[in-house]
Amino acid sequence: MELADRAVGFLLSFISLSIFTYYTFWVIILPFVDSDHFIHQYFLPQEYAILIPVFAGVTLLFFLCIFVGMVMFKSNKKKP
Amino acid sequence: MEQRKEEKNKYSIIIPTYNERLNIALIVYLIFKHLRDVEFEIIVVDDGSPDGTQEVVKQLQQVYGEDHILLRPRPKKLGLGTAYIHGLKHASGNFVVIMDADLSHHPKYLPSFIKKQLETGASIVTGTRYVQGGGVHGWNLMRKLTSRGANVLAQTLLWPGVSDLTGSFRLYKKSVLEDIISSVVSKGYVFQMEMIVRASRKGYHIEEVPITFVDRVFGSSKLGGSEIVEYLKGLVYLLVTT
Amino acid sequence: MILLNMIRTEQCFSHLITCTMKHVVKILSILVTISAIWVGLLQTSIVPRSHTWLLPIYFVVSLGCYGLLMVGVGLMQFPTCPQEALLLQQDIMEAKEFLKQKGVDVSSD
Repeated sequence: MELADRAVGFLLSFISLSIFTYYTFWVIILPFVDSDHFIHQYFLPQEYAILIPVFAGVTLLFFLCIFVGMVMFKSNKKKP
Repeated sequence: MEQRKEEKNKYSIIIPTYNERLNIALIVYLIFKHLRDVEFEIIVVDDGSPDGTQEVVKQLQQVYGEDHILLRPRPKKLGLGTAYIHGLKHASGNFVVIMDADLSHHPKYLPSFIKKQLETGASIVTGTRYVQGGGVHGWNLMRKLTSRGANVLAQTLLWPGVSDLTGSFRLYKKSVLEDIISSVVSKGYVFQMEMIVRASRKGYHIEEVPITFVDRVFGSSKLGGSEIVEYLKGLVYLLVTT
Repeated sequence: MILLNMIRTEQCFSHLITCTMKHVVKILSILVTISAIWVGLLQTSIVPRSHTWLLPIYFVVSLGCYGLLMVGVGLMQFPTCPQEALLLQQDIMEAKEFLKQKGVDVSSD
């Protein structure tokens, strides 16, 4: 139980660090590498460096709004 | 002069209750056990509990004396914030301690609050669960996750300089509490957060001591959807008003 | 009820006037500074423009990662105290014993 919670914490930190490293590589370092270098085959084209985060952000915001809206709707229904 | 002043310190412990007939007896016993050689009074603000909390408090007055335990009831449930204001009106000490009646706050930490205050001269000493020596018992993964997320959100947005914003085990200088509580409008969880954020914005000296928090009834301090939304609203409110 | 709300809004307004700098303003000014630096970088093109135009989104992603990391680390090091629960049980037994002797009603129902 206790250990499982810590494992989840470790997993979250690990995910966040890997995303950060990968993204840093993609956006900051890759433009300085020649485009015919072999490392480019491990990364999607630059456009996706914008598309994916924006898409993720919009979905997150969308779900947040739905969640908040539902809770508020419920509590409004309860009151009268 | 300073020495004499310190000896005269009196601590008013305000405990709001609602249906806590067993817990209030236990907590009073534990307070008397752990608070030796300091002058204090316990102010029980009962919101008309139907389970006989007030009768138990009267019995306790027989045991410990009516000057040590004050019962200041109110006719019905009127909320936490106003309970503190109500208790504060009857407090005769120069320091006020606020704690929950459900034994999630153990009175054995009271001496460390008082000691910290005397050492640092702080206006507020707040108990924190998130440092070494503190801790929580009885929370599941979801509860831990939301509490952590909420804390990170508040720390990045508000920079309060305090590690535990929603904890409610605190010691205030009476004048300071009177000053802040009048400007606080939130309720519930956000109430505690607004108090400490406003205090920190006003530049009061705040110190922390580690406390442990034991949820005796597993999962009783549940965080539902409405609590989360209230919390988010509170964050936005604090962002624009403080 | 309406009166109470009016008093409340009045309080809010008086706050807005008395406090010098709201926290939102602080955060917004930081954001404005950052975007000013970014625009400056774009304009002067010390670094080729194709490299700088992604920076804001990089900033947001980093912020998200930071938040997730803090939650993860916090969860990993969440201080727990199972022994405290046992100690509390002992304290409760002791208190019940004493209070029963003194004639305080401690039956739990």
